[in-house]
Amino acid sequence: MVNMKFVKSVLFVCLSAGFASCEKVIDVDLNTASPKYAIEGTIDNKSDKHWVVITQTKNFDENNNFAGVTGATVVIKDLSGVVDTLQPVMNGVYETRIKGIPGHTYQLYVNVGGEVFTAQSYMPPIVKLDSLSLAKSEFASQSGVDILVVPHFTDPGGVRNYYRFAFYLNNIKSKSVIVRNDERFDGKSTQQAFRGVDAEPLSGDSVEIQMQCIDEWVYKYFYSLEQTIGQNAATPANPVSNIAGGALGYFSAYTVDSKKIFIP
Amino acid sequence: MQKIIAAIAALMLFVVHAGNAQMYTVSGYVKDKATGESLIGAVVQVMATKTGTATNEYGFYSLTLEKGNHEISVKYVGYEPYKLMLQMDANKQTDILLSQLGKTLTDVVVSSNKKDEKLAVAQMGMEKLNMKDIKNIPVLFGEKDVLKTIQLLPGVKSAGDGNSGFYVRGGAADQNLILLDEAPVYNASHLLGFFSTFNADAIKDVTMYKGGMPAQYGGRLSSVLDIRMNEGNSKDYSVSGGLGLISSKLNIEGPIVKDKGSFLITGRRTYADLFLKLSNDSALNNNKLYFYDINAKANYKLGDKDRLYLSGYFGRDVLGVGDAFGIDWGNATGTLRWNHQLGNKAFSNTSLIYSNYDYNIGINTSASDINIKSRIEDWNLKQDFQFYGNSKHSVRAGLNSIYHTITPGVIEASGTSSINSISEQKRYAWENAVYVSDNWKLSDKLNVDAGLRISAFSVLGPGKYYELDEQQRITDTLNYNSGEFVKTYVNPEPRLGLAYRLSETSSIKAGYARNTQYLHLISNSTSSNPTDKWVPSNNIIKPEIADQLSLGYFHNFSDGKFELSAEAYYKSMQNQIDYKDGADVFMQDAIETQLLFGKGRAYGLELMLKKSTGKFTGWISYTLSRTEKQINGINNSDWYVARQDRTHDLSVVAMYQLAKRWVVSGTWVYYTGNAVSFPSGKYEVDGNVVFYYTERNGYRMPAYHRLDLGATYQLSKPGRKFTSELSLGLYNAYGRENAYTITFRQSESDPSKTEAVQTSLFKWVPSISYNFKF
Repeated sequence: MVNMKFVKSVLFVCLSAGFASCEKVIDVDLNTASPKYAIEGTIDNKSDKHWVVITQTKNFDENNNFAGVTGATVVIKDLSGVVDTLQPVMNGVYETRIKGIPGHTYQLYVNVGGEVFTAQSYMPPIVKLDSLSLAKSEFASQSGVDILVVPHFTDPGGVRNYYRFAFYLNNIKSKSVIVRNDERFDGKSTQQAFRGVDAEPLSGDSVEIQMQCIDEWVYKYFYSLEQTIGQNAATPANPVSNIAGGALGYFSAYTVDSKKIFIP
Repeated sequence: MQKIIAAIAALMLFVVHAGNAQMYTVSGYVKDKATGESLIGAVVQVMATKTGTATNEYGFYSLTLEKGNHEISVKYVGYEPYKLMLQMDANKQTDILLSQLGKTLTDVVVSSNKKDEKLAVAQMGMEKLNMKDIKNIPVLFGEKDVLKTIQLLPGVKSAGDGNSGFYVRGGAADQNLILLDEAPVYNASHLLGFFSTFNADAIKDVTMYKGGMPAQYGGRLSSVLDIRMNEGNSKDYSVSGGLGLISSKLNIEGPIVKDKGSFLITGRRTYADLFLKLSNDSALNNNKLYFYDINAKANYKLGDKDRLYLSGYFGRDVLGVGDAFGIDWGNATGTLRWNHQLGNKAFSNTSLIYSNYDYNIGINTSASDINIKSRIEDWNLKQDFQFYGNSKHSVRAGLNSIYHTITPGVIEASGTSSINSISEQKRYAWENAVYVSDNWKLSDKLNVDAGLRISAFSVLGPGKYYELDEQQRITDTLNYNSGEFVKTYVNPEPRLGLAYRLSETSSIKAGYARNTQYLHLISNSTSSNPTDKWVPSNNIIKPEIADQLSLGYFHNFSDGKFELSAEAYYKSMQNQIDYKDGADVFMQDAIETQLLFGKGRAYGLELMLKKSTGKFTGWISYTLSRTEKQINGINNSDWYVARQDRTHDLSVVAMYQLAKRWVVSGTWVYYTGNAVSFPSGKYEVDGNVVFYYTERNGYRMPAYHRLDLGATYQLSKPGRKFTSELSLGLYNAYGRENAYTITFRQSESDPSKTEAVQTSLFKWVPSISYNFKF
């Protein structure tokens, strides 16, 4: 809601107007660490195929091509009874056709390189995304972004809901991590304004907002992931993963509803 | 009530009285001859025996001597020493007036009367700042700053560029109690830490206690910074002020009734935003960026024995981006004090204090229309007695009661807003303390300062408090009504100091003190932030406790020209707080679910060499130290270095009276970087390259060093009523790019690589200011 990072960057812009502050790339001697597994597993209620991607950590000075890990045994179980062993379709990508049903709880089991990781995620009931509208940003000149996209939806009152938003500009997914909980708008018809972090929507572009309903543990993961990426916290730490066994990453069962809007 | 106090006083005096030959008492005030300002800590000494006393916070002294004649000397830094012959044949009331050395604003030459001061006093870990030193030391933007100057002393570390928070002996920034005329100031910084809230023109005395605080102070673990304002010239009207590039100030003082009462008003405002208005860039010219401070004080003598003081401070920072966003914050304090002399051996002070810190964020956009308010408000009653029994004992006793009201956050959303109005629950607490201490001159050589403070903290309703399980999840909610006691903590805090005079020129000291802290500042960012939260102890958050042992050696040489001091300390802390990984600090309620608790320890060696006489004055201070924490659930439950740990900290300060009208000064600081957490690897999640962290605080920021230069030129001829001077300064004279933050990202030029980026703030920052006085 009130993004502290945004507040600070605005204040910083105001102050650095008068000061000569500078930025430069430097060499930092960083330690290396033995590789850890990173697992991204998702199940949603719309697609018929879902994937679990397994990669590993690399040292800081290596390149950014994260190769997939082959030879893993990946199983997903719907607690109501269905079990599926996933098939590798690409290096590090394992596919399942298990049905994603709101209200069901799913478990993930991964056995790779002699290590075992497990996770559990609950797919919440659907909350519909009603519509999208556009708004002008008051901070246009500061952030360089003029146009905001506003999703409209009604939060179910009396129960804690967690949301994650994916922002697609011209069908390309934005890197921003956006999660919200309804502590401030429980039961209200709400409008959350978003800006595209990596690129500004311009006239003629299409913007698609995908609204996901997620469970509390997935919310905690993405909330702490945003802090880790932002490097703003006094004590940077790894995000709080819902995967047990020592892997990085997350396992999320979510409902999805998306809407598209064109910038005139 | 009066009779009871007098009876207790008489009883205490009877107890300490040695039953000697005929004794008489002389008491009174030591004041500035020209302005009538009382002088704090002036030494009143019997020349023959070298026994004596120092004036208290109101300039009051009391000496009990044998019948007969005694030669007394009175000394105070910056003033001509004064000698008088006292004929003690009856109890007397004698005020002593001292004349300032030299009459210029830029007076740097300090008389060599500090020879005996530090050696005889049992109080260790105490630094007194000379206001004249503060006026000559160059600081950022030419703003003379109390907080920046104390960071040049050993054991006191700067929190970094763009930060006026400070760390004392390894403690966190919230472990320092900052008092302005006895009122606590919760956020002593302006503009995110670039300036402090203290206007050096209105300040008379600054004393810092680094942990071994006397029993009348308590409530924070690491230090007490006791700042006393001027009373105002009670003889004549005076106006002084300054005009600078970034800010200007004005000071008006004068008598209410000559020699009976005086007043003082000081104001300061920055105008950085006026420069922004000149910009054509619409991103800048509609923004607000300023702060202001007002200090006001009045005092009046109700009679020979009574004096009343009323002082207040009001300051505000305002930051705004057009009409869409605004944040403002500030402190307001008010103090009403009554001094009363009970006979000539006892002094009483009663204070009623109000202190308030609040911030307000307003967001007014098409998407949201909300106001977030937060505040901490204190009502404080203090009663302090000082008994000057005889030359061997002086006893101090009193009580302190504070009622805290903390509103963590009230969110007011307008009717059309998509957000609920939420009133987060207020927190109420009642903090009490009683104390007694005795300064006992055991022998010619041995001085003992022994005291006991007993503090109590009661958490009060109304409110909801929580029970948590091992994973910090709420298992139960407890409802309390107004006035109900949720939990009470009681902590005894013994204080002990010993000073042994080895010779005329050297002494050793030892001390032990326990301190308890009941309010904690929760902050999740690397720099001080006006929206950091003050959280009181409760059923889950226990009070922090620190035990500190210190040992020191002090030596004057070359006939008092040089002072050497060496102090070593070890501090052990309990109930230290830190965040768990991935904590949500913006959560308003139940912050206890984000915190973990453990212990801490800090130890170090502080060295200082100081020259206070002659044309060339200054000091070198060096601190070698370490501070660590051990909290289960963080860093694999191993000991880890605290963020504010700084192995080496060196400050060199030099001031030189170049010619009759020129004073030049320079400071050079060097310190090891803060401990930080850097990544040891990276991986990909959700299309982002994410950095992987192993240990907490396992790396260091690069070392920080900086040279500042300053020069002051006396424009007016000495002896005139109207004086003026020009101050020039250059901050960071060799333009070192000191790291403010280091972050990591995908390279902009080559996305297949990641790189580290350093942001630094200030390179060369010149300043000019014009100061006047008449």
